[in-house]
Amino acid sequence: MQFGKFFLMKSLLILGAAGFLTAVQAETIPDYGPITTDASAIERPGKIVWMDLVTSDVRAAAKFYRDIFNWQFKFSGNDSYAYATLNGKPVASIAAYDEDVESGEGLWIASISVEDVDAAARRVKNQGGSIIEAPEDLPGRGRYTVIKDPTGAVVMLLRASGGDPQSGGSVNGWLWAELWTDDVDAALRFYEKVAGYRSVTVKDGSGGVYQVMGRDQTPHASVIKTPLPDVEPIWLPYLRVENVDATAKEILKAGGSVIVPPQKDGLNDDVAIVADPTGGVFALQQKEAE
Amino acid sequence: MNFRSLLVCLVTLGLVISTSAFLSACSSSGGYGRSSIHYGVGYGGYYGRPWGYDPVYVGGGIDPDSGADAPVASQLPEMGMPDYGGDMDMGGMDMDMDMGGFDW
Repeated sequence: MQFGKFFLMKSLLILGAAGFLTAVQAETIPDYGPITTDASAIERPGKIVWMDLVTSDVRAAAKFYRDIFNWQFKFSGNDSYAYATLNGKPVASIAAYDEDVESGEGLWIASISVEDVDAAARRVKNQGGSIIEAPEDLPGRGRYTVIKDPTGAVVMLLRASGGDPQSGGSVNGWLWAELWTDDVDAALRFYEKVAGYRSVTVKDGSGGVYQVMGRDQTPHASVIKTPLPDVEPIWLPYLRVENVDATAKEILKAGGSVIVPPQKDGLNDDVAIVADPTGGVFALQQKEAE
Repeated sequence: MNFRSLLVCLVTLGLVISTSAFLSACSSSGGYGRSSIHYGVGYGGYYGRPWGYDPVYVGGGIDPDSGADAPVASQLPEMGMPDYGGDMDMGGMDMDMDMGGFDW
């Protein structure tokens, strides 16, 4: 009987320790979450399917996007990761920079859906781009790689395991993506090979032109020559808002910044470029909800 | 404690340790087990400031409605998602599409 009690206590202690270790481990593992919860979702190669913000302060960034855009967050990985939903649907994720990264300024990273991440990564290298993070699986999310195009813009290529979301159309959701680059032709050639895009030329309201990349008769992103000084090539995400002026003012009050305010001349009166308090730059565009 | 109970305890402890080690190994190879997400790696040195300046270029209390006076206003081309039904020019481009433009 004595032996039975001793053995039971010992076993419980061991099991408890194992449980504690498992709990600690689970706490440090981010819950990445799917990019769509639609069970009938299909793959949509070429579509900009997800946005990730990497930043030094996940909590501060999440508070900003919750207060301004009504995103709801689920935190995991000891607050190193936050998974955001809008009206119950996945919209974005916010991740902390790794501890060995010195600069912590926020950066939004767009994800382009591709059929085969590994094959796309090989094409990246063949077409003069570079691999920042080699293809890797994120359980629950899919397979991804982070790359830099030959002009210097960073983007993620993603094959989501649960399919790609349909166009949202929701206010406070993603609307569009725009590539700013110093070499438009080189960028177009690169993304044609890597993401299967074709491009068309669009005349703008001032008589100029810009390029729109798309696939399967669907436009996905525009490409313009970087219009501001001192800005490196970048993929700029656009959020749909109902009132760009009002939203820009709210952003200032919430500790964010307005880099380019809405213009009064009509050409960009529906657009503003802003930043969250952690430095993540994105754009607003005023569009009525679909 | 007799030999039998000692053996059972050691075997149980061994199982716990090996299971934990196995889980740790799996997590490391799959991108798990990090204190933060993997795709922050590599951004510190040359990607941390793609905008070249602190993002307070115009902000800091400026009234967004006064955008026409902003120093960068006149340099910007049309930006953002084009209006549906936009003017598509299929001529004179290197990569003409064969369907006469996107299906807006």
